[in-house]
Amino acid sequence: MCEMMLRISFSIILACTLALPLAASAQLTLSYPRQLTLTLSPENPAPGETVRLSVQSYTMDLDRSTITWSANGTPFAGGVGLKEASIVAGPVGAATRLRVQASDPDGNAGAAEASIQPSEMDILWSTDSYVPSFHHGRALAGTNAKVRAYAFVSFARAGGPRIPESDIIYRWLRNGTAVTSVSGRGKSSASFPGPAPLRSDTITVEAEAVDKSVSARASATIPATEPVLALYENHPLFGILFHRAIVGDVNTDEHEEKVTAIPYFAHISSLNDPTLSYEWRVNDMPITPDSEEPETLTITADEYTGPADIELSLTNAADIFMRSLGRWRLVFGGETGIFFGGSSVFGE
Amino acid sequence: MNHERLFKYIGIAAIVFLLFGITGWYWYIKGETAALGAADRARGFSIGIPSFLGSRGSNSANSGATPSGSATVQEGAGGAASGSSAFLRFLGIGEAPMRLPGAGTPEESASTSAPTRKTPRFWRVSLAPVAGASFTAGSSTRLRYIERGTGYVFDVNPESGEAVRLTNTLTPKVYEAFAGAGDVILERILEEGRSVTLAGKISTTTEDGLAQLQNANLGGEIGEIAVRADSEDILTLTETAGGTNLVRSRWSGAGAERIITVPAGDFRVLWPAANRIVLVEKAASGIAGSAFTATAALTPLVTDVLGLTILPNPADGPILFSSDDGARVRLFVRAAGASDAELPITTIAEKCVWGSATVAYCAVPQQIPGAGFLTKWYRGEVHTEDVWYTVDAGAAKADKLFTIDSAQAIDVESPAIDPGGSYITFQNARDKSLWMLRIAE
Repeated sequence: MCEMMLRISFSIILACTLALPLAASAQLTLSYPRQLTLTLSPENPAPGETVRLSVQSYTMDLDRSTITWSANGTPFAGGVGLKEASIVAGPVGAATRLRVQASDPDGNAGAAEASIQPSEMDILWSTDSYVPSFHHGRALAGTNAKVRAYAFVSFARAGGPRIPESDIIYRWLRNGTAVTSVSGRGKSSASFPGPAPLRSDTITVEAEAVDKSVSARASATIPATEPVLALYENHPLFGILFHRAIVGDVNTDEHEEKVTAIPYFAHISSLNDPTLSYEWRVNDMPITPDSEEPETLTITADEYTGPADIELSLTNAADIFMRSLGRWRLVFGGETGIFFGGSSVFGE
Repeated sequence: MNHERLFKYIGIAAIVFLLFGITGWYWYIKGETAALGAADRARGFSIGIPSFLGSRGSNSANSGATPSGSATVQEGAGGAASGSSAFLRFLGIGEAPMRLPGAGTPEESASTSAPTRKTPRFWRVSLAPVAGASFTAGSSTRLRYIERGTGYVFDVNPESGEAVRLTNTLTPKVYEAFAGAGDVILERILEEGRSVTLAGKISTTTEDGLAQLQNANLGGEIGEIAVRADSEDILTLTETAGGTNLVRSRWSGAGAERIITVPAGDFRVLWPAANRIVLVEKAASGIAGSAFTATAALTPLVTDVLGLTILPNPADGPILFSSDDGARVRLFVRAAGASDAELPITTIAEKCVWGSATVAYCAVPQQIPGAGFLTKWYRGEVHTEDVWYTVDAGAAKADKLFTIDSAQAIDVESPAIDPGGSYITFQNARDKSLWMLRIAE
């Protein structure tokens, strides 16, 4: 009985040993596709964005291979040596399954797959820097500014609705360093100190759905901006003429001019913020500012004709980095009308 | 004897004190008079009452090209006697309407007993600074504008150039103004450095042909406003601790409905079509910005473009957007399903207006004044001299439409087109004067 068992076992082992080369040969050509690497750029495309696809292999000669590209089972590009292709991403939530197949003249074959999950992401930000009412430009980050950022994210699972912010995990980074105190599930907005003088901050946010089905990353660069002092005529009829700053030398034939200084991007709540110190000088004579309107200066020339060199030094007791200096020249008795209309006074 | 000397000294001292008192009183009164005078001037008390010609009070002093021979202005009209006479002279107040080089005088139609006048192709509607203007929606096209110095509302017939003043409610120093449907007017002023929005309707009852503007104060919380000529509703942006609120309400603020709150961002609001609202981040040279269609959620329109300004299409066609990377300004057209195409003109989308689904008109600076243009332009530190171009968005082409006389030096802002697509109105950012261009020659 034992001898019988030994004979059967030997026969099986012999049969297996003889059959092994045949089986191995069959696996090389049919069962083991060569490894291909499929690369997408960008990896997390926005809806409608063109995605560049490329395929590489260290085990196949792709330049001699017939390559076929397909999306969701439908071929959309193909040819010998066609190692690159592109496709337009669908809308948010419309996943696209990509497959690339290659076969060379020696009978080797390979394939790779990837998925496109379109998502949208952007960082919106604002600062608490001062700009006057009706100003349509951005309030940039002046000294001592605070920045508030919001990560706009549009994620959706394949065929499903948008993923709510509460189901997204946000990871905020400032200049590459994670800020854990403002990161976490549902934390789509965060506040940061503004950039240090003469520097720029890069705010980055990485967002990922709780189920890890989709993720994205976005960055915003916020440069530090020196507060800018601009001087405007404060007209008795029309108010502050924000639309034309006084630039360089300006002539006027008026006997009195009222001008208002605007410190763009200063870290103040209003122009008569008690922390601000306005130091006006006209022709090197210090002028005590009006306590209620320190930003405004009225120059009465009477019979005087000639230049009035206006200088304003603005400092902020609450902001040691803020020190703005502005210089302008009004020429009383100058060429008529230039102050108000000459294009040359508004810079080039 | 001692008493006599004592009385003398007391008398002399009393006289001296009296003299000092009188002198002090004199200087005090002088100072107060100056302060009151300044306040009065600020309120416009020293400004002469404009002279109105015609039964409805056409303010020819403010109108650049007036028909029916009303080109003469009464002596002193428009307040040229104020302390800022040079400025007012520059603005043209108190002077005969300015005739433009090349623009000529209004043309008379031939062989009619009562000649009808036609405006020049390009003309200055208002010499005085204007706070806002838009074409009215309805059967007959009218350009409605609001004066900056007075808050008075005017209607102008773009064909004849006839200007009619509608209101007599004085609101000095109006920085921004909007005209909506149903005679809705919004005027924005500054009070103690903060903006205040006054909303009202032009009264249906008139006195001497002029109506009151019954204003309601919408408060000082509003940052940005959008108004459409075909709606009595308004869109506002207000800042709270929770972020920026986009709110739609009736013109009076009633029926306010919050559309969306965005936790952070510095936005302007655009209302290109009745059913489409666009939020765009305020622009600065070299700073990336994005624009979104706003409903209960945001849908990206254009994202991550340096110095982004955008002109959405009312007809849901392609959009124009521009970039200012700090050194260079570029204008692009984006159409659905196509790659962005750069247009061969250098301007910002804010200087453009759509004429149809695929045709836009853009004011193009002959030269961009240096680096950081957009940021400086918003601060009023630089200005441009523009030429009008027609943009074919489908073909990404641009052809010159109209060259403004170099003597005018017009820096176009806030362009708008009439519902018929025949006229473009805009302000000159140099002086806030109001202009009109007929598109067809």
